[in-house]
Amino acid sequence: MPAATSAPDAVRFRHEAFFYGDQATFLAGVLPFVRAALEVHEPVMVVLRSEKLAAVRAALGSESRDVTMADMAVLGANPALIIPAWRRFLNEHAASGRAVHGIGEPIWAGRSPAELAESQLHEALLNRAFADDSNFTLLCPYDTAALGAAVLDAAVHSHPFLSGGRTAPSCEQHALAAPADFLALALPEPVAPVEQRRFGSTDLATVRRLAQEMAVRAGLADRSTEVGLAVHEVAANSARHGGGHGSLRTWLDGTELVFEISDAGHLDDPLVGRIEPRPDAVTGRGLWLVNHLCDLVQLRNTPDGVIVRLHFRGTAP
Amino acid sequence: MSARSEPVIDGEGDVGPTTGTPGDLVLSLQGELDVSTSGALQRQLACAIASGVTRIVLIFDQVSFCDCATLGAVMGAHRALQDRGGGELVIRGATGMPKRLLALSDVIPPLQLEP
Repeated sequence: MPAATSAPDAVRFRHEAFFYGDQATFLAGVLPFVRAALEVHEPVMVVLRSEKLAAVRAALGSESRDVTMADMAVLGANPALIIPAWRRFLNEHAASGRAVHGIGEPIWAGRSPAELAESQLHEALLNRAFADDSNFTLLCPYDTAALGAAVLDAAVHSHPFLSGGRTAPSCEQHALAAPADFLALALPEPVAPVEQRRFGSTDLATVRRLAQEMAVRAGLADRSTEVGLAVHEVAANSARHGGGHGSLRTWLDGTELVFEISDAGHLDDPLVGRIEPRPDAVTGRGLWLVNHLCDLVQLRNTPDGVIVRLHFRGTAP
Repeated sequence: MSARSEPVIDGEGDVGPTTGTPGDLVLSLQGELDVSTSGALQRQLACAIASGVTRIVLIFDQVSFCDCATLGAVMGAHRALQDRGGGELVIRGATGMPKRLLALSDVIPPLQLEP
Protein backbone atom coordinates (compact mmCIF):
# COMPACT_ATOMS: atom_id res chain seq x y z
CA MET A 1 0.00 0.00 0.00
CA PRO A 2 1.46 3.33 -0.95
CA ALA A 3 2.36 5.84 1.69
CA ALA A 4 0.02 8.74 2.19
CA THR A 5 0.73 11.85 0.18
CA SER A 6 -0.78 15.27 0.45
CA ALA A 7 -1.63 15.71 -3.23
CA PRO A 8 -3.32 13.54 -5.87
CA ASP A 9 -0.98 11.01 -7.48
CA ALA A 10 -1.22 12.42 -10.94
CA VAL A 11 0.18 15.82 -10.12
CA ARG A 12 3.10 14.76 -7.94
CA PHE A 13 6.38 13.01 -8.71
CA ARG A 14 5.60 9.35 -8.10
CA HIS A 15 8.74 7.47 -7.00
CA GLU A 16 7.90 3.84 -6.50
CA ALA A 17 9.99 0.86 -5.42
CA PHE A 18 8.84 -2.34 -7.09
CA PHE A 19 10.03 -5.53 -5.38
CA TYR A 20 10.33 -8.65 -7.50
CA GLY A 21 11.67 -12.11 -6.80
CA ASP A 22 12.20 -13.58 -10.26
CA GLN A 23 12.19 -12.72 -13.95
CA ALA A 24 8.49 -13.53 -14.41
CA THR A 25 7.46 -11.24 -11.57
CA PHE A 26 9.83 -8.59 -12.90
CA LEU A 27 8.25 -8.65 -16.35
CA ALA A 28 4.76 -8.83 -14.87
CA GLY A 29 5.42 -5.51 -13.16
CA VAL A 30 7.49 -3.74 -15.79
CA LEU A 31 5.61 -4.60 -18.99
CA PRO A 32 2.17 -3.28 -17.96
CA PHE A 33 3.86 -0.08 -16.75
CA VAL A 34 5.50 0.44 -20.15
CA ARG A 35 2.43 -0.56 -22.14
CA ALA A 36 0.17 1.76 -20.14
CA ALA A 37 2.41 4.67 -21.14
CA LEU A 38 2.60 3.58 -24.78
CA GLU A 39 -1.15 3.18 -25.06
CA VAL A 40 -1.70 6.86 -24.30
CA HIS A 41 1.36 7.93 -26.31
CA GLU A 42 3.28 9.16 -23.31
CA PRO A 43 7.09 9.04 -23.32
CA VAL A 44 8.76 6.23 -21.40
CA MET A 45 12.44 5.53 -20.74
CA VAL A 46 13.74 2.25 -19.37
CA VAL A 47 17.19 2.13 -17.76
CA LEU A 48 18.26 -1.38 -16.79
CA ARG A 49 21.34 -3.53 -17.18
CA SER A 50 21.72 -4.96 -20.65
CA GLU A 51 20.38 -8.47 -19.98
CA LYS A 52 17.19 -7.08 -18.42
CA LEU A 53 16.84 -4.58 -21.26
CA ALA A 54 17.06 -7.45 -23.71
CA ALA A 55 14.29 -9.31 -21.87
CA VAL A 56 12.04 -6.24 -21.88
CA ARG A 57 12.76 -5.58 -25.55
CA ALA A 58 11.98 -9.17 -26.48
CA ALA A 59 8.74 -9.18 -24.51
CA LEU A 60 7.58 -5.87 -26.02
CA GLY A 61 8.39 -6.90 -29.56
CA SER A 62 7.68 -4.12 -32.06
CA GLU A 63 6.26 -1.92 -29.29
CA SER A 64 9.80 -1.43 -27.98
CA ARG A 65 10.65 0.99 -30.80
CA ASP A 66 8.69 3.70 -28.99
CA VAL A 67 10.59 3.14 -25.75
CA THR A 68 13.83 4.97 -24.96
CA MET A 69 16.27 2.45 -23.49
CA ALA A 70 19.63 2.85 -21.82
CA ASP A 71 22.05 0.50 -20.06
CA MET A 72 22.13 1.33 -16.35
CA ALA A 73 25.60 -0.22 -16.02
CA VAL A 74 26.85 2.50 -18.40
CA LEU A 75 24.54 5.46 -17.78
CA GLY A 76 24.45 4.87 -14.02
CA ALA A 77 27.94 3.45 -13.43
CA ASN A 78 28.40 6.68 -11.50
CA PRO A 79 24.98 7.00 -9.82
CA ALA A 80 25.38 10.80 -9.69
CA LEU A 81 24.78 10.84 -13.46
CA ILE A 82 21.33 9.22 -13.26
CA ILE A 83 19.40 12.29 -12.07
CA PRO A 84 20.85 14.38 -14.93
CA ALA A 85 19.71 11.68 -17.39
CA TRP A 86 16.13 11.73 -16.08
CA ARG A 87 16.22 15.53 -16.13
CA ARG A 88 17.26 15.51 -19.79
CA PHE A 89 14.48 13.06 -20.63
CA LEU A 90 11.92 15.25 -18.85
CA ASN A 91 13.24 18.36 -20.59
CA GLU A 92 13.01 16.67 -24.00
CA HIS A 93 9.32 16.08 -23.44
CA ALA A 94 8.44 19.10 -21.31
CA ALA A 95 7.00 21.03 -24.25
CA SER A 96 4.53 18.25 -25.07
CA GLY A 97 2.85 18.63 -21.67
CA ARG A 98 2.47 14.87 -21.50
CA ALA A 99 3.17 12.79 -18.41
CA VAL A 100 6.62 11.14 -18.46
CA HIS A 101 7.36 7.62 -17.25
CA GLY A 102 10.57 5.90 -16.28
CA ILE A 103 11.88 2.59 -15.04
CA GLY A 104 15.29 2.66 -13.41
CA GLU A 105 17.11 -0.08 -11.50
CA PRO A 106 20.17 1.63 -10.01
CA ILE A 107 20.87 -1.05 -7.40
CA TRP A 108 21.91 -4.62 -8.12
CA ALA A 109 23.88 -7.29 -6.29
CA GLY A 110 27.11 -6.66 -8.20
CA ARG A 111 27.50 -3.04 -7.04
CA SER A 112 30.62 -2.40 -4.93
CA PRO A 113 30.00 -1.16 -1.36
CA ALA A 114 30.93 2.40 -2.40
CA GLU A 115 28.68 2.26 -5.48
CA LEU A 116 25.84 0.87 -3.36
CA ALA A 117 26.18 3.70 -0.85
CA GLU A 118 26.05 6.28 -3.65
CA SER A 119 23.14 4.50 -5.35
CA GLN A 120 21.19 4.64 -2.09
CA LEU A 121 21.97 8.35 -1.76
CA HIS A 122 20.82 8.76 -5.38
CA GLU A 123 17.47 7.09 -4.59
CA ALA A 124 16.93 9.45 -1.65
CA LEU A 125 17.95 12.46 -3.75
CA LEU A 126 15.40 11.64 -6.47
CA ASN A 127 12.61 12.68 -4.11
CA ARG A 128 14.15 16.12 -3.79
CA ALA A 129 15.40 16.50 -7.37
CA PHE A 130 11.95 15.96 -8.89
CA ALA A 131 9.77 17.20 -6.01
CA ASP A 132 8.42 20.01 -8.18
CA ASP A 133 7.94 17.92 -11.33
CA SER A 134 4.34 16.96 -11.74
CA ASN A 135 3.42 14.03 -13.95
CA PHE A 136 6.70 12.14 -13.65
CA THR A 137 6.38 8.51 -12.56
CA LEU A 138 9.51 6.50 -11.81
CA LEU A 139 9.42 2.79 -11.04
CA CYS A 140 12.56 1.34 -9.37
CA PRO A 141 12.75 -2.46 -9.49
CA TYR A 142 14.49 -4.21 -6.56
CA ASP A 143 15.51 -7.86 -6.81
CA THR A 144 14.45 -9.44 -3.51
CA ALA A 145 16.21 -12.73 -4.38
CA ALA A 146 19.61 -11.10 -4.91
CA LEU A 147 19.69 -8.12 -2.55
CA GLY A 148 20.21 -8.25 1.20
CA ALA A 149 17.57 -7.33 3.79
CA ALA A 150 19.31 -4.05 4.68
CA VAL A 151 19.29 -2.92 1.04
CA LEU A 152 15.62 -3.77 0.64
CA ASP A 153 14.78 -2.00 3.88
CA ALA A 154 16.67 1.09 2.70
CA ALA A 155 14.60 1.02 -0.50
CA VAL A 156 11.42 1.14 1.58
CA HIS A 157 12.73 4.31 3.20
CA SER A 158 13.80 6.05 0.01
CA HIS A 159 10.55 5.53 -1.92
CA PRO A 160 7.24 7.20 -1.06
CA PHE A 161 5.43 4.45 -2.99
CA LEU A 162 5.93 0.70 -2.73
CA SER A 163 4.64 -2.22 -4.77
CA GLY A 164 5.37 -5.91 -5.25
CA GLY A 165 4.23 -7.24 -1.91
CA ARG A 166 6.49 -5.25 0.36
CA THR A 167 4.71 -2.73 2.52
CA ALA A 168 5.76 -0.05 4.90
CA PRO A 169 5.43 -1.04 8.57
CA SER A 170 2.90 1.75 8.91
CA CYS A 171 2.41 5.19 7.51
CA GLU A 172 3.86 6.72 10.66
CA GLN A 173 6.98 4.58 10.46
CA HIS A 174 7.45 5.08 6.74
CA ALA A 175 9.63 8.11 7.25
CA LEU A 176 11.65 8.89 4.15
CA ALA A 177 15.40 8.97 4.55
CA ALA A 178 16.78 12.49 4.36
CA PRO A 179 19.63 13.02 1.88
CA ALA A 180 21.48 14.89 4.63
CA ASP A 181 21.61 11.62 6.60
CA PHE A 182 23.42 9.90 3.72
CA LEU A 183 25.85 12.80 3.43
CA ALA A 184 26.68 12.30 7.11
CA LEU A 185 27.41 8.55 6.79
CA ALA A 186 31.02 7.69 7.61
CA LEU A 187 33.22 6.41 4.80
CA PRO A 188 35.29 3.29 5.49
CA GLU A 189 38.94 3.97 6.23
CA PRO A 190 41.30 2.74 3.51
CA VAL A 191 43.15 -0.48 4.27
CA ALA A 192 45.92 0.17 1.74
CA PRO A 193 48.89 2.45 2.52
CA VAL A 194 47.90 6.08 2.18
CA GLU A 195 49.92 9.00 0.85
CA GLN A 196 48.92 12.21 2.52
CA ARG A 197 49.78 15.87 2.09
CA ARG A 198 48.38 19.25 3.01
CA PHE A 199 47.82 21.90 0.37
CA GLY A 200 47.02 25.59 0.28
CA SER A 201 45.58 27.83 -2.38
CA THR A 202 49.01 28.36 -3.98
CA ASP A 203 49.70 24.61 -4.30
CA LEU A 204 47.03 23.69 -6.87
CA ALA A 205 49.49 23.22 -9.75
CA THR A 206 51.51 20.88 -7.55
CA VAL A 207 48.38 19.00 -6.49
CA ARG A 208 47.22 18.32 -10.05
CA ARG A 209 50.72 17.31 -11.13
CA LEU A 210 50.93 14.91 -8.22
CA ALA A 211 47.50 13.48 -9.11
CA GLN A 212 48.61 12.95 -12.72
CA GLU A 213 51.76 11.17 -11.58
CA MET A 214 49.74 8.93 -9.28
CA ALA A 215 47.43 8.09 -12.19
CA VAL A 216 50.37 7.11 -14.38
CA ARG A 217 51.87 4.97 -11.61
CA ALA A 218 48.48 3.29 -11.07
CA GLY A 219 48.31 2.30 -14.75
CA LEU A 220 45.84 5.02 -15.71
CA ALA A 221 48.19 6.97 -17.97
CA ASP A 222 45.49 7.42 -20.62
CA ARG A 223 43.26 9.17 -18.08
CA SER A 224 45.94 11.13 -16.24
CA THR A 225 44.87 14.57 -17.51
CA GLU A 226 41.29 13.88 -16.46
CA VAL A 227 42.48 12.66 -13.06
CA GLY A 228 44.55 15.83 -12.66
CA LEU A 229 41.62 18.05 -13.64
CA ALA A 230 39.16 16.31 -11.29
CA VAL A 231 41.51 16.46 -8.31
CA HIS A 232 42.35 20.07 -9.16
CA GLU A 233 38.69 21.11 -9.24
CA VAL A 234 37.96 19.61 -5.83
CA ALA A 235 41.17 21.05 -4.34
CA ALA A 236 40.28 24.44 -5.87
CA ASN A 237 36.92 24.23 -4.09
CA SER A 238 38.82 23.66 -0.83
CA ALA A 239 40.98 26.69 -1.56
CA ARG A 240 37.93 28.78 -2.36
CA HIS A 241 35.16 27.56 -0.05
CA GLY A 242 36.82 25.19 2.40
CA GLY A 243 38.95 27.50 4.47
CA GLY A 244 41.75 28.13 1.97
CA HIS A 245 43.52 24.83 2.42
CA GLY A 246 42.87 21.15 2.62
CA SER A 247 44.31 17.69 2.86
CA LEU A 248 44.84 15.20 0.03
CA ARG A 249 45.04 11.46 0.66
CA THR A 250 45.64 8.91 -2.07
CA TRP A 251 45.57 5.15 -2.10
CA LEU A 252 44.98 2.11 -4.24
CA ASP A 253 41.92 -0.02 -3.54
CA GLY A 254 42.66 -3.08 -5.62
CA THR A 255 42.95 -1.68 -9.14
CA GLU A 256 41.03 1.45 -8.18
CA LEU A 257 42.86 4.72 -7.59
CA VAL A 258 41.21 6.80 -4.88
CA PHE A 259 41.80 10.46 -4.01
CA GLU A 260 40.30 12.00 -0.91
CA ILE A 261 40.24 15.76 -0.46
CA SER A 262 39.10 17.08 2.90
CA ASP A 263 38.68 20.64 4.08
CA ALA A 264 36.85 22.76 6.64
CA GLY A 265 33.85 23.53 4.42
CA HIS A 266 30.27 22.27 4.47
CA LEU A 267 27.98 20.91 1.76
CA ASP A 268 24.66 22.73 1.96
CA ASP A 269 23.00 21.32 -1.15
CA PRO A 270 22.97 17.52 -1.43
CA LEU A 271 22.17 17.85 -5.15
CA VAL A 272 25.44 19.66 -5.85
CA GLY A 273 27.10 18.27 -8.98
CA ARG A 274 23.86 16.72 -10.28
CA ILE A 275 22.18 19.80 -11.72
CA GLU A 276 23.46 20.62 -15.20
CA PRO A 277 24.84 24.15 -15.26
CA ARG A 278 23.25 26.48 -17.80
CA PRO A 279 25.57 26.88 -20.79
CA ASP A 280 26.21 30.50 -19.82
CA ALA A 281 26.72 29.80 -16.10
CA VAL A 282 29.70 31.57 -14.57
CA THR A 283 29.99 29.37 -11.46
CA GLY A 284 28.84 25.95 -10.26
CA ARG A 285 30.55 23.74 -12.82
CA GLY A 286 33.25 22.10 -10.71
CA LEU A 287 31.48 19.10 -9.17
CA TRP A 288 29.30 18.60 -12.26
CA LEU A 289 32.48 18.21 -14.29
CA VAL A 290 34.08 16.01 -11.62
CA ASN A 291 31.10 13.64 -11.77
CA HIS A 292 31.76 13.24 -15.50
CA LEU A 293 35.49 12.68 -15.09
CA CYS A 294 35.41 10.12 -12.27
CA ASP A 295 33.97 6.62 -12.06
CA LEU A 296 32.49 7.42 -8.66
CA VAL A 297 32.36 10.49 -6.44
CA GLN A 298 31.53 10.42 -2.74
CA LEU A 299 30.68 13.63 -0.87
CA ARG A 300 30.34 13.68 2.91
CA ASN A 301 29.80 16.22 5.64
CA THR A 302 31.74 15.36 8.79
CA PRO A 303 31.94 17.17 12.15
CA ASP A 304 35.23 18.63 10.89
CA GLY A 305 34.21 19.67 7.39
CA VAL A 306 33.79 18.12 3.95
CA ILE A 307 35.29 14.94 2.51
CA VAL A 308 35.27 14.29 -1.24
CA ARG A 309 36.43 10.90 -2.52
CA LEU A 310 37.17 10.43 -6.20
CA HIS A 311 37.39 6.89 -7.57
CA PHE A 312 39.13 5.99 -10.82
CA ARG A 313 38.81 2.38 -11.87
CA GLY A 314 41.86 0.74 -13.34
CA THR A 315 41.66 -2.11 -15.76
CA ALA A 316 41.97 -5.49 -14.13
CA PRO A 317 45.35 -7.11 -14.88
CA MET B 1 38.42 51.19 -31.48
CA SER B 2 41.80 49.56 -31.67
CA ALA B 3 42.95 46.17 -30.48
CA ARG B 4 44.29 46.38 -26.97
CA SER B 5 47.36 45.25 -25.24
CA GLU B 6 46.87 44.60 -21.56
CA PRO B 7 49.26 43.67 -18.77
CA VAL B 8 50.43 40.10 -18.74
CA ILE B 9 48.52 37.88 -16.32
CA ASP B 10 50.70 36.71 -13.46
CA GLY B 11 50.95 33.14 -12.33
CA GLU B 12 51.69 30.18 -14.55
CA GLY B 13 49.20 31.15 -17.21
CA ASP B 14 50.30 33.91 -19.49
CA VAL B 15 48.65 36.36 -21.82
CA GLY B 16 50.70 37.25 -24.87
CA PRO B 17 50.50 40.28 -27.14
CA THR B 18 47.15 41.03 -28.68
CA THR B 19 46.36 41.60 -32.30
CA GLY B 20 43.23 42.08 -34.34
CA THR B 21 40.92 44.46 -36.09
CA PRO B 22 39.13 47.38 -34.46
CA GLY B 23 36.41 46.21 -32.09
CA ASP B 24 38.17 42.89 -31.64
CA LEU B 25 40.19 41.68 -28.71
CA VAL B 26 42.52 38.86 -29.63
CA LEU B 27 44.21 37.35 -26.61
CA SER B 28 46.89 34.75 -26.90
CA LEU B 29 46.81 32.66 -23.73
CA GLN B 30 49.63 30.41 -22.62
CA GLY B 31 50.46 27.71 -20.13
CA GLU B 32 48.27 26.62 -17.27
CA LEU B 33 45.15 28.69 -16.67
CA ASP B 34 43.54 28.13 -13.31
CA VAL B 35 41.98 29.85 -10.32
CA SER B 36 45.25 31.76 -9.78
CA THR B 37 44.99 33.45 -13.20
CA SER B 38 41.22 33.58 -13.70
CA GLY B 39 40.77 36.83 -11.75
CA ALA B 40 43.24 38.68 -13.97
CA LEU B 41 41.67 37.22 -17.11
CA GLN B 42 38.21 38.20 -15.90
CA ARG B 43 39.35 41.79 -15.24
CA GLN B 44 41.06 42.07 -18.60
CA LEU B 45 38.00 40.82 -20.49
CA ALA B 46 35.65 43.03 -18.48
CA CYS B 47 37.83 46.05 -19.17
CA ALA B 48 37.86 45.36 -22.90
CA ILE B 49 34.10 44.87 -23.03
CA ALA B 50 33.52 48.05 -21.05
CA SER B 51 35.57 49.96 -23.63
CA GLY B 52 33.45 48.68 -26.51
CA VAL B 53 34.98 45.41 -27.71
CA THR B 54 32.27 43.23 -29.25
CA ARG B 55 34.30 40.28 -30.49
CA ILE B 56 36.78 38.40 -28.32
CA VAL B 57 39.07 35.73 -29.69
CA LEU B 58 40.95 33.66 -27.14
CA ILE B 59 43.83 31.77 -28.69
CA PHE B 60 44.22 28.52 -26.84
CA ASP B 61 46.83 26.61 -28.84
CA GLN B 62 49.50 27.21 -26.18
CA VAL B 63 47.18 26.44 -23.26
CA SER B 64 48.06 23.15 -21.59
CA PHE B 65 45.59 23.32 -18.69
CA CYS B 66 42.33 25.16 -18.10
CA ASP B 67 39.92 24.80 -15.19
CA CYS B 68 36.34 25.69 -14.31
CA ALA B 69 37.38 28.99 -12.72
CA THR B 70 38.89 30.02 -16.07
CA LEU B 71 35.80 28.84 -17.89
CA GLY B 72 33.73 30.89 -15.42
CA ALA B 73 35.74 34.01 -16.31
CA VAL B 74 35.17 33.34 -20.02
CA MET B 75 31.46 32.73 -19.53
CA GLY B 76 31.23 35.91 -17.46
CA ALA B 77 32.70 37.81 -20.40
CA HIS B 78 30.25 36.12 -22.76
CA ARG B 79 27.37 37.16 -20.54
CA ALA B 80 28.71 40.73 -20.33
CA LEU B 81 28.83 40.87 -24.15
CA GLN B 82 25.20 39.73 -24.36
CA ASP B 83 24.19 42.24 -21.70
CA ARG B 84 25.68 44.99 -23.85
CA GLY B 85 23.66 43.97 -26.86
CA GLY B 86 25.48 40.95 -28.20
CA GLY B 87 28.87 39.94 -29.46
CA GLU B 88 31.05 36.96 -30.17
CA LEU B 89 33.41 35.00 -28.00
CA VAL B 90 35.62 32.61 -29.91
CA ILE B 91 37.98 29.98 -28.53
CA ARG B 92 40.60 29.22 -31.17
CA GLY B 93 43.02 26.33 -31.37
CA ALA B 94 42.08 24.47 -28.20
CA THR B 95 43.50 20.96 -28.04
CA GLY B 96 43.91 18.22 -25.46
CA MET B 97 42.61 18.79 -21.97
CA PRO B 98 41.24 22.34 -22.51
CA LYS B 99 39.28 21.12 -25.54
CA ARG B 100 37.89 18.24 -23.51
CA LEU B 101 36.86 20.62 -20.72
CA LEU B 102 34.97 22.79 -23.23
CA ALA B 103 33.17 19.75 -24.64
CA LEU B 104 32.22 18.32 -21.25
CA SER B 105 31.01 21.70 -20.06
CA ASP B 106 28.60 22.06 -22.97
CA VAL B 107 29.57 25.69 -23.66
CA ILE B 108 29.92 25.33 -27.48
CA PRO B 109 27.53 27.09 -28.15
CA PRO B 110 27.16 29.70 -26.73
CA LEU B 111 30.93 30.04 -27.24
CA GLN B 112 32.31 29.48 -30.71
CA LEU B 113 35.08 27.00 -31.27
CA GLU B 114 37.51 27.48 -34.14
CA PRO B 115 40.27 25.08 -35.08
